[in-house]
Amino acid sequence: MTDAKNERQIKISSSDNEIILVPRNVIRLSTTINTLLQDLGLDDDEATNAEPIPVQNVAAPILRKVISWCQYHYQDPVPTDDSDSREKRTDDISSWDTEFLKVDQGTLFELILAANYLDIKGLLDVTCKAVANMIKGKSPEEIRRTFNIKNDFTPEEEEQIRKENAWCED
Amino acid sequence: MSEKGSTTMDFGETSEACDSQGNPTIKSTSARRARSLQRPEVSAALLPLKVLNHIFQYLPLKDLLSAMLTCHSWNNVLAMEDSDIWQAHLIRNVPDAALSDPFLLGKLGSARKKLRAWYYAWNATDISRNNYIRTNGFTVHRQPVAQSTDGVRGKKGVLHGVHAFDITWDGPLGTVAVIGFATK
Repeated sequence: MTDAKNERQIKISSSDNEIILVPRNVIRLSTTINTLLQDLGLDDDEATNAEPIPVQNVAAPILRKVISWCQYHYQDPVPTDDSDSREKRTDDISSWDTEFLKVDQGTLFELILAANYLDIKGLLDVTCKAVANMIKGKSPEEIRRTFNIKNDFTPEEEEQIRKENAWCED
Repeated sequence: MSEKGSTTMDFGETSEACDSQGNPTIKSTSARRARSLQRPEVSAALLPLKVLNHIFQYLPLKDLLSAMLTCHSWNNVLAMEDSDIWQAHLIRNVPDAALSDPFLLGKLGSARKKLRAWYYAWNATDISRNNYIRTNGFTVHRQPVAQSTDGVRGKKGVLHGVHAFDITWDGPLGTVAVIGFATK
C-alpha cells in the first residue's frame, strides 16, 4: 500500500447514525471492516468510497473509544500465535490499556461486544483479561455480586455441580 | 444516578450496582458518556457464548469451578466438555505420553473427562519405594524386590460414588501379585 492510501480516511457510521472518520491504517485492526474494504474493492479507488460503512451494533460513544484504542495500537507488532502449552496470563495488561479500561462495567461489556463484532483481536483479548481478573480468586457468590448476576440454581443443582467438579479444586 | 439504578436493575443489591458504575460524577464528562448510560446495561450472564469462552480461557481450574457455580448461563458454557478451554487445560496438564497412548484415555469421550481422570490418577509423591509412576502419569511400575509390599495412592481421595478401576498386569508377575484397596 502506498502512503497516500494509508492516510486515506474511511467513513464509518455508528448504530446511532454518527459518522466517524478513521485512517485506513488504523481501522485495519478490525478484521471485520478490513475484510469488508478488501472484498468490496474499496481499497482500489478512492472515489468509490463515499458511502460510510455501517457498524450497526455499536453506538458512537463506544465506537469512538474502540477507535481510540486502535489509534494507540495500530503500529503494534502482530502478536505471534500464543501457544496452548502455557497458562494464559492476565497480569500483562499494559499501563496504557489499564488506564483505557478504567470504565464502568457496562462500558467494559460494550467494548467487549464491539471488539467481538468488529473482530479486533487485541482489544478482545485485553478486555476479556480485565473481566477474567474480576473473576479470579472469587467465590461464586462474590462473582455474582461483582457482576450483579442472579443465582438461578436450586441448592440441589449447586450440590450436583460441586460434586461432579470437586477435582477442579486444587 | 438514582434514575439509572432504577431503570437497569431489577434484582439484587442496588448499592452494588451503583457502586460499580455510578460513582464518578457524570456532569463533568461529555454528552456521549451520558448517552451511553441511558442504554440498557449488558449483563455478564448474557454475554455471547464466544465472548464467555474467551474470558474463561484465562481462568485456572479453581476459578472455572466458581464460574460454573455462578449461574446457568455460565455453567452451560463450561458444560461443553470438548471446548477450547478444556482442551487447553488438558494439553497443559496431562503428559503427552498419556495423550498419545491410544489405549489409555481413548475411551474417555471428552477433554474434560480426560483431564478429570488425570486429577484422580496416581500421586507421584505418595508412593512406596519400589514403585514408580511412568511418564504417562497413569501406569505404576514396580521394581521386582523380594519380600516387599508396595503401594500407591491417588492424588485425590473420594467419599462416594461408583469407582471403576481397569487394571492391566504387565508381566512377568513373579510369585504373587495382589491388589488391595483401602480408604484413608
